[in-house]
Amino acid sequence: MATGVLAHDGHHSSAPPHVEPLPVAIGGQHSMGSVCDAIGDIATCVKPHPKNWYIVFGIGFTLAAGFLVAVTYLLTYGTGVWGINVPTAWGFAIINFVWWIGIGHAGTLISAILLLLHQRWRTSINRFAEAMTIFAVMCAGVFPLLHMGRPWLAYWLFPFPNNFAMYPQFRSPLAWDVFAVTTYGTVSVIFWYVGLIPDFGVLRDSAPTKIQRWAYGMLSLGWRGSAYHWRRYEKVYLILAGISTPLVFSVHSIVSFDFAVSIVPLWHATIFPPFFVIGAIFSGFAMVLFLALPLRKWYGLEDFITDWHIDNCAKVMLGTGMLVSYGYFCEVWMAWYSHSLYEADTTWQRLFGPYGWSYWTLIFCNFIAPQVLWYRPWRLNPYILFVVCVIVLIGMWFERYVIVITLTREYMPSMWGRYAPTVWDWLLYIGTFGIFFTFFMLFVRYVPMISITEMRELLPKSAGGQDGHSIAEGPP
Amino acid sequence: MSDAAANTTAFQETPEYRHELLSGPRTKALLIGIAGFVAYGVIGGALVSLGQADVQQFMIAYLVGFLFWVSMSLGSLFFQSIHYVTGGRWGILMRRPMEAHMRTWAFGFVLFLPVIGMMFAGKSSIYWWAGHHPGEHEHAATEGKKEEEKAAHKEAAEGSWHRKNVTKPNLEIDEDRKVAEYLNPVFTAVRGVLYFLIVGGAMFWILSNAMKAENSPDEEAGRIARNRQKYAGTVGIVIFALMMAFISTDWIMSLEKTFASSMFPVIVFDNAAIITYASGMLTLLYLKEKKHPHFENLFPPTEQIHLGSMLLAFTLAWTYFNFSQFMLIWIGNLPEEIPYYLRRTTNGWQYYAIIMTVFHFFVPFMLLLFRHVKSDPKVLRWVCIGLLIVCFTDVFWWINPTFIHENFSVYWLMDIAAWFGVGGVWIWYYLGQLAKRPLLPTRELYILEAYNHGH
Repeated sequence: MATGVLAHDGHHSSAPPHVEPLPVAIGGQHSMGSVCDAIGDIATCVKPHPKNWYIVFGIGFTLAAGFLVAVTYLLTYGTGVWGINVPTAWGFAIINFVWWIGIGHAGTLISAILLLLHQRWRTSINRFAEAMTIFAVMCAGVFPLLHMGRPWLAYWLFPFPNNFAMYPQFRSPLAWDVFAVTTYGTVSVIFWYVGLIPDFGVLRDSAPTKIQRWAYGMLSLGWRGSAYHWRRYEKVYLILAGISTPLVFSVHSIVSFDFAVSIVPLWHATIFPPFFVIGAIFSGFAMVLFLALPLRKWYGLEDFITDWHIDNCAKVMLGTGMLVSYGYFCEVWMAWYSHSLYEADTTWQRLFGPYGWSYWTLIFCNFIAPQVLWYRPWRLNPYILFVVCVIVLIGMWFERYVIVITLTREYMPSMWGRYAPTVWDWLLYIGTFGIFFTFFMLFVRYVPMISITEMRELLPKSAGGQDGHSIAEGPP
Repeated sequence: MSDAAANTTAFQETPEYRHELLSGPRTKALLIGIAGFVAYGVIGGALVSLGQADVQQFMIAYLVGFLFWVSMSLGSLFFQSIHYVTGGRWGILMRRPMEAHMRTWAFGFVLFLPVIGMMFAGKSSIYWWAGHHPGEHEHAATEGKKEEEKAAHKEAAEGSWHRKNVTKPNLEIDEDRKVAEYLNPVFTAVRGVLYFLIVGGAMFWILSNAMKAENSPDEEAGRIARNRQKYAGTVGIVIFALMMAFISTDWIMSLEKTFASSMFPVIVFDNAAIITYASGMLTLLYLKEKKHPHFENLFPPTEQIHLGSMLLAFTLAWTYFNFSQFMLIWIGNLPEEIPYYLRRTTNGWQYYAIIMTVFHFFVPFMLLLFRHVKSDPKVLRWVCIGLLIVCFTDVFWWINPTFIHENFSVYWLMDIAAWFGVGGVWIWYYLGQLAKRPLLPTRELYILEAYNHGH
């Protein structure tokens, strides 16, 4: 058998490879100590909080008060104060539920899936993305709960032994939602908290005041940073990542089933599960950037949330945006291909009916606007990127609005109707922003918003070393 | 530097070495292909003459084989494009198999010609629309109603119930318009040619640009070509996604009169992805087994684990897509869609469905979950072969249950023979393309070397 030949000089004869510099995971000249100071000092308030923190917290808290007013009014007079009607019986409640729960998905994707895929760039954004997930799930949960009309009986949704002859209807995706969302919320909180334990340990040892040392000490659950602790921590963290990964897919798939199991034209679409999951990641990354861009500027975190992170998030947003657009194409394409009278007509109504403006708004927001992200300098321009994120968040809200509003033009004209939200719908929705930003700003103030320990693990690579190679304490 | 690493760096492939390495399996593939086609003809002729199968079944068998093998070329466009956009070591290892897969696209067009023939076969065609004439369905509906009434009387008399009757409701689907506007033989055949041209154009652009990026003597021209790869990859993904939707609709979904599922193109894509990736893996494992110095050293068990995990991901995705489609159609129970699954859950097909669930999901899932399975080249090779077989059963499942087989028949022997026939010739052509260029891109070897030597 003929064999290959060995070059005499022992080197390739091909052209020298074009070697690109590695992207920057941590900028500046950081050491183990300076990483701790730069992130920990924000949580322990050694570094004063910027004026904008107070402004956002103030607005958030005010809107949260509006939320309480909306809930109080709703509980006093019932769901009749909303704009819901027949045929649009879900209205804002389901639009906002899906929108918020979708936003949460990016946090879990960044924390769990990117961890399993060994993506280093997740490290500086996973912590606040996880917090975003938890607060988004909280906001999402409010809507179906209140839409029940009698939220104090929400426990009937669980299959518990009782003498009312009551049991959940397990063929209903609404019952699946209960399990999906509660599981998702629980796992997200545990995952987030487990990741925080070593950081709480660091803050316990470095916080300036006694109260802080005591509080962080309690929260760190006796963390000593021993080899045993690290071993168990790494194992638990990996297991939780494994549990969280299927949740990214299952939760929004089940949310999509809320619509797709029906036989309403354009709701009964088999592509809905992956289409919803991708849409959730799309809007979630828009929210991650919406939060990350101001935070890194206000707190001077450019060394940790580098252009590399921003660029990657923008690319994910662009990619998922294209996939979502593919979903829009598939919906229309399949409605036309099937030549089904109702599918075709409902599609026509969606595109050119009385609510057609909302469809074209979503096409602009989710397909056309993200196209600017093809150009790298625009991806790295925080102002352009921020505006795109806002547009995408609006677009993804409209996506759910368009789905829900389909009910106003389905099947027979005698079934047709219209839908308009009332001031109480709007106040409740805007109020959830208040809840979200109040909690998020409190998180930024008291909890390390970037993982200190994980950033320290990245240091050897940033300092020119590799995995397993140590670097000396102090600036290199 | 270890001896193995030094050998990898110093080793240079010659075309003679490549041809000798690949000529053995190439010859075998051609012989299998010829034997497969002979068997296809003999079995088909025998079954048709014995009345155990009809001409339609003969066509179906070919379509199954064609769709399976052509999906490798399509899938390679996806993987190569994704690699250019996202990077990663897996793409460097897989580049040559994927490029060779892409270069079989023109050969795929030759294999497509009989499918065009099927589109013009009129009433004998497997495509219902090939022999459909406007106004026909009204007549058929009236006739169907009479038939139904007769059957109902018969069943009442016999005290039996037959599920087939459930599938004949009054549907709100305009078949005449569907055929006139889209599913007519001329337009469908022209579209088929267009798909080949568009996908072929994208492949040609990607491949010619890759040649410049790797081999251009002008360093600046090479740099421009390498930068262009990202854009070529992006265009490739968009073209792939759109073409996949049209191809799966025209060539497969249109076999069913009323079935329309937006998930179906995604399922076809996922099957194509598994087929392509498993085929690429088998190529790499073969080269490693034959002690090609690059693959011995640069395709270690750790890389096998990474690549095997991709197969696991696609297997999980297959389950997710199929379950979602099945559950939503089952729960919707609409007369336009449900016949698709009624046909696939009766007359013995229900057992086939269970077997597929076990071997297309549970078994590969359980195997690919474990690192020692993925790191053992022999076990991994068998997993890849197994996946190719179950992917074939999937293509079989999309098409065959659409046609009712009244009598017990071994018609499926034709499908298997056609699969070997088309496949043997296809692999022969593929290996010929693979032998034309170095089996790893020499310009990027340093990335694999750096990683595998711990730098």
